[in-house]
Amino acid sequence: MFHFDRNFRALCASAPWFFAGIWLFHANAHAMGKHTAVHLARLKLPDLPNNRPRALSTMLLRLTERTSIKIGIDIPELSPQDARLFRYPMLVLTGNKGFSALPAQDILRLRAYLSNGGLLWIDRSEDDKDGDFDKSARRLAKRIFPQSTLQKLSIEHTIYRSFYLIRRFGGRILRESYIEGITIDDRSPILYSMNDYTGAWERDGFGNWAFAVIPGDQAQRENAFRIGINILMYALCVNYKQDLVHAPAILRRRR
Amino acid sequence: MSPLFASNFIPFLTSETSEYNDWRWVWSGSWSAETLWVLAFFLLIALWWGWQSSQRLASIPQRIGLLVLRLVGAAALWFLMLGPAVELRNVQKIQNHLPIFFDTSASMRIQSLQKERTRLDAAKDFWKRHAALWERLEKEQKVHWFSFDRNITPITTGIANLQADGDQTDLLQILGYLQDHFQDKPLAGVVLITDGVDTLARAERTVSGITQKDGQKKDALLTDRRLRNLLVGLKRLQIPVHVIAPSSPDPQALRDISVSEVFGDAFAFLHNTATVEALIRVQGFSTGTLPISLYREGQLLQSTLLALQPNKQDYTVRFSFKPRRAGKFIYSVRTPVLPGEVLHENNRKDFLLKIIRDRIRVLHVTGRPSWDVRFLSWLLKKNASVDLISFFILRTQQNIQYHNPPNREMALIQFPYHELFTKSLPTFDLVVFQDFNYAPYMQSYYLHNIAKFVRNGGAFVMVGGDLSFASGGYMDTPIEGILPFGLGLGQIDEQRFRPVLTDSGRHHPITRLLGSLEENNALWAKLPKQPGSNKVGDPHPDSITLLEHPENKTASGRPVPILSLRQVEKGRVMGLTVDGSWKWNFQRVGEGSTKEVYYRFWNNAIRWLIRDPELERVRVSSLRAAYRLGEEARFRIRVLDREYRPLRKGKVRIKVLRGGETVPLHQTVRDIPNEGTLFFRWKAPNSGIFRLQVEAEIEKGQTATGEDLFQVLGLLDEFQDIRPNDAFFAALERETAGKVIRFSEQITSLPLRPATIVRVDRSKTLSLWDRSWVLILLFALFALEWGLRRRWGLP
Repeated sequence: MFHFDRNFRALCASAPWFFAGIWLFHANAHAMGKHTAVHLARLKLPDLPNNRPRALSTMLLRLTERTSIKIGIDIPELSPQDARLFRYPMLVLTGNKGFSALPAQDILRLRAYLSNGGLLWIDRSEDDKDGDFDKSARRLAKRIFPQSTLQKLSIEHTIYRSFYLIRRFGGRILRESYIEGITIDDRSPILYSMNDYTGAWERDGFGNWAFAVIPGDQAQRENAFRIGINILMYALCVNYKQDLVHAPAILRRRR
Repeated sequence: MSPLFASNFIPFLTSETSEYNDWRWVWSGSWSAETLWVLAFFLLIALWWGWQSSQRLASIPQRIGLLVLRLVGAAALWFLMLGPAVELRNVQKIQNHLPIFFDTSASMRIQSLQKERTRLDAAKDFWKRHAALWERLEKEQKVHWFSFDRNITPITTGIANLQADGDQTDLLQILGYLQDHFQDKPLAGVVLITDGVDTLARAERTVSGITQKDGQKKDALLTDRRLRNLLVGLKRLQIPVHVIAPSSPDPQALRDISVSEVFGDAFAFLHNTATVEALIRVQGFSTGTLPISLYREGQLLQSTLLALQPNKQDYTVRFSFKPRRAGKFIYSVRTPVLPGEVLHENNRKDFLLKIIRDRIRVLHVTGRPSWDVRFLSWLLKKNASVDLISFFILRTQQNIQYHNPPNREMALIQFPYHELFTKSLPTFDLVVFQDFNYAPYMQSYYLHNIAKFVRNGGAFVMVGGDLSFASGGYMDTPIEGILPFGLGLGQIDEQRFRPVLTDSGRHHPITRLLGSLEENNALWAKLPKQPGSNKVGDPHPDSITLLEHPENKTASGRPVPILSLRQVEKGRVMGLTVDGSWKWNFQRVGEGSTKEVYYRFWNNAIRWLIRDPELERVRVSSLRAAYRLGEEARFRIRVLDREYRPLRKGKVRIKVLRGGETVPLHQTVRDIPNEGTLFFRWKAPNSGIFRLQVEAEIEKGQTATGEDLFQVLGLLDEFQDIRPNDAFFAALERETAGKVIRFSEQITSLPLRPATIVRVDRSKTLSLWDRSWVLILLFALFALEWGLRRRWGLP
């Protein structure tokens, strides 16, 4: 009973979100073909199940509320060899355990994908400081771009100013106050975050937050959303916010 | 040998001296050189022995007397061994040559101090006044008269008929002419009738009327070097070089204002500040102000007032301006003609300035981020020739109602539509509206500005999306008036489709992505499908549709345009009704191909929109930017048909106009050869800047035009420096011992080198060595020396 009550309350509490989501997605449905909307895809690896199945939908709902971006509701899971891979210029990879090394042809395809305008965002969900996912993710990034390594993105990087001015970092675990990335020329095709941002967005089947944020509060969760929105804005606008026309206002607000 | 010898001694040898007027020594001895050396050796020994043996004498005069006698005897013996003889000759002296060079360059047209008389008039007057001198010189010398400017020509029609119409003065060529034509002829001297202004250095650089900033210095150095070479060469001839020149004027007496030079680069960058500096040379005016103006294609751009100062001749006036159109244009710096000026032609200097794009300035405005926006924006940003300003609408009013954090937490700026679409708009070459609905952000007033921007030569692109075309609220706005098709009802078609190339699209440079027609058609047939399109209306009558929908029809039953182009007065507009062109990039890479197609498509579109000359249908190109007066200007004319193939038949109408005038100086109609390229030649009647316009009918009822500007260099170089070159005259006087005579002077003679070359008519040789009295005299010398030695007790 207790469980029923709790779940019922949670369902009632989350109902507005779902209705709003349905309305917002519907509002976009009249747009120019469903394929035109901005779709994300999850990178599907054989031994890495999707541990955050609702997180991206939640974040996209927030994105639709807060930005002008027209979002595609479906988030397919695509393997590197999937024929549809290049219809989705942004891939998300989350996980809490190590995964086996990808075959060379998958690496080549991912390299082509990322070198020609695609973006891969890897979000680490595991709690262990020295977890296997971290090792696997770094190994994957290194194999895709052997000449580069994941490095901490400086505060000047567009990722911290593509929509919100990021001063504080969120996520389910407030582990690091930066994002790592591989930068080639002036674009970062691989982003790697370690704070389990998707964990902060994940809801359960009743619309409740699936995980508490550690050690913080709702501000920490809000910051996780802001990072997520910035990452998607970065995927869509790249270095738009580095244009000189934006610089004075951004600098003024940062002071 | 002295005349005393000739007058006293030669009659002693012969009585026929009256038949000869000249003589010289000749040597007829047949002894070899070795024999003479051996003899000289023995004579020296004899001298030494004689000197040694005379040491016994106490009297030094006696010793010296004996030595002299032996020395004279030895010398006489050795002299006779050489076979001396006197050659008597009857000779005639040959006349020297006297070339006289008469300057007929245009600078001789400058009025001299005596009003209404040009320098040439004054020179002719000098010639007339000295008729007796010329007559005498003609008798004493072989006088040659030449006129010179850029070339040297013998005067055959008389001095009185000379005209000062040469467009350049080349003084150095006189030296070459003397070396070539008088190499074996004796010169008495050279006479130059000139103002001494050498202008060839200025002409030798490539000119379009504008001088490189260090050009004047280079000119001066080159002129200096040329005149120095001339001086050195004339000095080597060792003859007097006389100059008959205009009087050096009192600076206040000669009144003239000239736009002497315009300094700058021959090209400037569009929308960037260009600077030209005009050198204004003022003579005879020392007070007041002088307006100096810069014109472009006859329209006043800028004007400034120059305050004149006493004792100052050269002023520099700087003009800075921002060219707003690419192409080649006629600019000119002008100053009014003031009363009393000796020359009017030099109060204006025209020059051609080529305005080129350093970068294509693109304003990219999008209503929302999307993959299509992302890839187009990235393409523009990565294009090194594009200067991109982009504005993405990242949140709408609707978003703000949901979530409105404080501004300090956002990296957003206001959309500066007012600045962009008012004063900044002309600084762009291309405006791109991509999935952008204007109404939430600005009034339709700003759309008027965009339409005006296009009519004035700008380019505009609208890319599809659910915020574009009719869905973006552009019906009944000025934008609808410039788009290449009607806007329809604002419907969106959500069916995936593959656009179809039209006949025009098969050949148009925007959609001709591969060289071969078949390959290009095949490429378009397999490009990734588009996710939908804006259902627009019929194409505008003067637009070209390159891509159309395979199934959808407009209200009139025609295929719905997908990609259409339109020329709107001076500007160009493109409408693309899909928002998935990015799939030709990224998705194609996923299919194992490259993103090249997408890049080529958009880069071609940008080049067409900004009127890249390579994509014009009628291309006119002058083979040179500038020609000499009298030289044929040559042009290449290439005509492409509506589908950008060489036009294989038809006619072109060719017009030549002067500068900004509208009445043609010359017009003709020519057939187009099979290869679509023809060549045209035309000789300008006078100097100036001309425009060659070509009009071709590329299909029935549709014409295309092209043009190019070219300059015919005239006499202006001659009027840049109107002062006689007194420094050069003084150097000539110093180096060649010539004289500088002014036109106003009266002279009675010219110092010339006397004739030295002779012709021998008759000769007679009188030998000395075989005459008996010579041998007796020699024997007497030796006998006297021997007798004295015996008398003084020597062996």
